[in-house]
Amino acid sequence: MEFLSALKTPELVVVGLLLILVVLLLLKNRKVSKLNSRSNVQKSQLSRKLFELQILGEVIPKISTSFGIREVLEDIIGSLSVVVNYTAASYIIFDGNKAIFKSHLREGVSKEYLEDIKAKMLESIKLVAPNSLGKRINEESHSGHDLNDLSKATVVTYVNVPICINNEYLGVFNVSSIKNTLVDPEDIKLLYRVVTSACRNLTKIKELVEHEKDKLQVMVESMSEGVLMIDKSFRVLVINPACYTLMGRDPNFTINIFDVFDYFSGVFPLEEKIARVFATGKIESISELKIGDKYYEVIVIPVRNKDEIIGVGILIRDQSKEMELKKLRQDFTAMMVHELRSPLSVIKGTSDLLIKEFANLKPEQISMFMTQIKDSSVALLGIVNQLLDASKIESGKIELFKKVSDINQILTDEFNYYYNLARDKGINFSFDLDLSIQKFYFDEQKIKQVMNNLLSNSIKFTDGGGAIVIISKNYGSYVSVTVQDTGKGVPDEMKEKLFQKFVQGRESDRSNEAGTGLGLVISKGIVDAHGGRIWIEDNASKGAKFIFTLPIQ
Amino acid sequence: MDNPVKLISEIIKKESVVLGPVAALMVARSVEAITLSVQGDVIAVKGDVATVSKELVAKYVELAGVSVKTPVEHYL
Repeated sequence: MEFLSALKTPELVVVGLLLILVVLLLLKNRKVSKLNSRSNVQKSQLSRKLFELQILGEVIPKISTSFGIREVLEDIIGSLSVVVNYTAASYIIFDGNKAIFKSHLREGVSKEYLEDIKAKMLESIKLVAPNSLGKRINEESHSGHDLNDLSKATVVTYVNVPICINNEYLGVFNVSSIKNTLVDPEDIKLLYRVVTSACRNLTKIKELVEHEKDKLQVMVESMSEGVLMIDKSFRVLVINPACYTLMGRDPNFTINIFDVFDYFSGVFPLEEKIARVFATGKIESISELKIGDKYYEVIVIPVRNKDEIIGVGILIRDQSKEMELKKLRQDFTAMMVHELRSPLSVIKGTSDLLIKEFANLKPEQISMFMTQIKDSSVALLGIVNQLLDASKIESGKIELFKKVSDINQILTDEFNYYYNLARDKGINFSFDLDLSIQKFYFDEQKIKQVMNNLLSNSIKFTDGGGAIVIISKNYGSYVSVTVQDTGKGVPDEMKEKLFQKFVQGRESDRSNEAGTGLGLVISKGIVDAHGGRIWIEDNASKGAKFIFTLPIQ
Repeated sequence: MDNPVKLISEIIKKESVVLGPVAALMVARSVEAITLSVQGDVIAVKGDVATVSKELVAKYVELAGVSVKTPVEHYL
């Protein structure tokens, strides 16, 4: 109370007020100081965050293009001084069988300083990956400040950051200082975050690249074309199994570019073509290249990285089958011309004769010539119809007109139709029919056409004294029909191709017995359209044995 | 190793070579169960030493990646 009454005196009031003011000012200053301190921390944190964002922003796109840890570390070093006060930033990186030591100096330090840093990094490597020490450091360099041999400065603080990509230890990154500047835990954490983040991204990119490479590898390996890729030094970088097969080489032995040159030696100047592609950047190719009994197409393509040609790809394609087909087409065209020309020549010659000599000819001569014209027209029509049938079958437009019919009756009719022809050639022609076969749905006319093809072939290729037999058999759900002869057989290599267009399985000795080669193609198309199957078997004695089946519906 | 202080000291010593003393001690100081002197010597280890050593190594791995586990794996 005495104190309060004392305060009432004006002097003391002033002193009291001043005291309160001082306390208030002190409190305010403390608050301001606290705020300033918090603000500085925030600024420092913000600065670190910005650095982290900036460095990762610079590094990640480079990772995508260069994939190299060295480039990434160089970028980190370039920006490091923004937040860390260091003297030297160094790395030791293993690259294949070699090891690289690189240092960036911000101050002139002695060679001993660098040796000390290197020793500290090697000690770290020795503990983490002792096996890596077998690799000698065979590339050393430094950038930034020049070395200063007069400098007595020693390493006071340093930090080692291990570098791992794809779970593989690649080396160590080191930041050192001649002063006690590398002690802030936030700076150290930041350094680790930046390097490990870059390594993580590099790992992701490498995984992606590996994945794409694997996909590409599988694709190249599964290609039927031979694929070969060489670099500028003519080293074979990629070679697929098809390449070994095409060149008839054992895949267990490595092929070098000289083996490839040898293979094409004398028929194709591959070396010259490759050199031209490197020089001009233009694709070089050759087709229908004959080596031994095979035909090849060889394409030499430049492989570019941006504008630079970094290698050459060689694509080797086996064209033998295409060439075979091409030859078949040419033979077929020649044969068709011949087949069409023969009856046409008869028609033209005979009609010319009739026009010129009509008045002088006897009626029976005129009748004979007219019959010749008719027969040739029928033959011509037959060829044209065969072409049309084959065309319909090829385009899947074959139409069946099924009705309940008797297959044995059809076979008997066919037998009767060809009997005289076979007998005239001295062929023993017979049939063996399974009478248990009931009538069923099929296209009578089309099956007759199949029988015509099979029987006319058998008669054509069976000499006098031979035999032809027609056999039918009931299998419950289907019937089989066999036309077996003792004539000229079909070579094994032709059996698979026999039902393909343009192929004649049995070679005729007589030019007048040649055919269009479409008969069996048409027969297969008809039987297939019925849901049956047609094939050729070896005849037990000799000759051919054609069998087809028809489902009973 | 029966002596907890010695075991933890060994781990920190190895990591000091791998990462450098500053980073190795910074991590060690962040483990509550480990008491360090100003000079960085281990003074005391509280609780189960196996748990503490695992926590310490986990923190090294968190900072610098799994490769730093190799030199100290046999202590765990």
